[in-house]
Amino acid sequence: MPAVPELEVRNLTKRYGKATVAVDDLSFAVEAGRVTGFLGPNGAGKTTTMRALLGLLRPSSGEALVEGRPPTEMEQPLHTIGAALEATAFHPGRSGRNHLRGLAAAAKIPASRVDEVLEMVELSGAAGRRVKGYSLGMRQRLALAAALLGDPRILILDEPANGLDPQGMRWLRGLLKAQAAEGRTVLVSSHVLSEVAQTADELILIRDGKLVSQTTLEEFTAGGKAALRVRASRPGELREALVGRGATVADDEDGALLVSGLEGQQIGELALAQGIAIHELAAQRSSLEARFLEVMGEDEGGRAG
Amino acid sequence: MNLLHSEWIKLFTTRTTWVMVGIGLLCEGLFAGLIVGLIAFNDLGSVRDIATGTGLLMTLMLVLGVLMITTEFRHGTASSTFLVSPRRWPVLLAKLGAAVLIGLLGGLLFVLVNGGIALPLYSGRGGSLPPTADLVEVYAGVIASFSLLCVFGLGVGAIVRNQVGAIIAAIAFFFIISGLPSLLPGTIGEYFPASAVGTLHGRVEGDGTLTQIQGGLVLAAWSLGLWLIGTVLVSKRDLSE
Repeated sequence: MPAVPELEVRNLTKRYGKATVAVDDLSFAVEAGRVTGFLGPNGAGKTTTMRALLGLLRPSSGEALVEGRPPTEMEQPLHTIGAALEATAFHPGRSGRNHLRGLAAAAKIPASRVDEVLEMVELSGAAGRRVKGYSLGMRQRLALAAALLGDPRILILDEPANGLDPQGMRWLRGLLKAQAAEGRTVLVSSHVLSEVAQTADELILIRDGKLVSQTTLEEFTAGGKAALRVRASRPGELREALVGRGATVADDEDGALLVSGLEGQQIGELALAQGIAIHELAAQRSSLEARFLEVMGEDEGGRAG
Repeated sequence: MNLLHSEWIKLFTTRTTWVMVGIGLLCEGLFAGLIVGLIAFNDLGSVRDIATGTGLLMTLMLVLGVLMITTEFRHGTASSTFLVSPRRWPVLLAKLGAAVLIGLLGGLLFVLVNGGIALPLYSGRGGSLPPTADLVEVYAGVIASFSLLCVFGLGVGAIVRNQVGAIIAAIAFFFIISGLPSLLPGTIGEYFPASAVGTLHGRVEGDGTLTQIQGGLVLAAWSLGLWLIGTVLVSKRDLSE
């Protein structure tokens, strides 16, 4: 197999007018068989990048490639790439089923497939109703159904979790993982890390139209500063001992230490050897979010959380 | 063909199309019944005037053509549409085909209503109907004008994109601005849509120099020209919402 990535942007730049640069010299590649989270604060250029990959926008410079070719040269577009862009992109007076029928007819997909995807997104019951009466979550499901219509090798989903309730989120995660497990390429954007943290294998982080980092979820988390929160009887001495063993230590409010670079077991044994009592030893649950804010920069990060 | 099928589905899966064609036919029927049945016979005008109806359904065809493309931009469905066909001109070609077809369909329904109500009333009140060949000519012209106006609207819609703006632009240009050159001396006015549609309907007043078919060709040239400009613009523009 030649190593052509399923999705790739090379030095992609998109300007609107002279002053606004939505995407600035962005390059990354997305591979098959995994869920790739595309993260960044609102306005970071995620949607613009996705639209360029779908051939809806023309890059100002650089290129966006699908299976190594510009998206406008796709042979069977709906079978190659399925996209759910925004939940409002339906004619309000048309029923969900009819929306899908129109798309299916254009790609010569049999009408039976329409009912199949409606079943997959659990929208069969409401399919005959006009979209006007749909909730945001139902619109998201309909958009997803449209994306799945051609049984595509690549899925591009822009903020698909918006408007979904917790069950809907769990269902979406299962669906994305299953699609990736079948060898498909899944690129899913979000401005909220926790939405993709349980699903994504790979992360692409952008800010102000530029690539901040492309990494796996494990690497990203491991790079975080605070991993474990420790309260101890003699924190000063413990801190020295921990630093001596190569850990990075920061102060939390209320005198606790935030320790990264050592496992809980190592910290406990080190404290025992020093005769220090451990009062609390807990994984810092927010470390992922904290890391995201740290990478994205605090000012923008406030909104991203 | 697939894309044409898709456009046909889109046309008939919202109420707009049904409501517009329905209202248009109802008004044309009322016109035929009330005006031809009740107004003083001497004020009725020629049978050609009666056979071309009020022009309302024709205007609605123009608006329907505009809506065929502007709703896609207004509701953001253009993105889905152009994902199925990232090369955009085939979609516009399919819309052109659908516009011609819906115009034909609307035209045929008009002929049924008009021919079924207005003509019998007219002759019932003592008017003499022209030879069938003449009537066929007028009706053929009306049907053709419905299709061409729908394409005209599609072209304007593709250029303007904003729904309300495009409807106003199409109506203002067709019925007002393109009628202005007729005020100039000479025959230049005949080459503009407002006059060409009259020629196509066979309603030439005395000094017209174009035949019915030539009038149709003039209107077709305008409609296809606008469609072509619209297609080029839609193909070039970004879809960012």
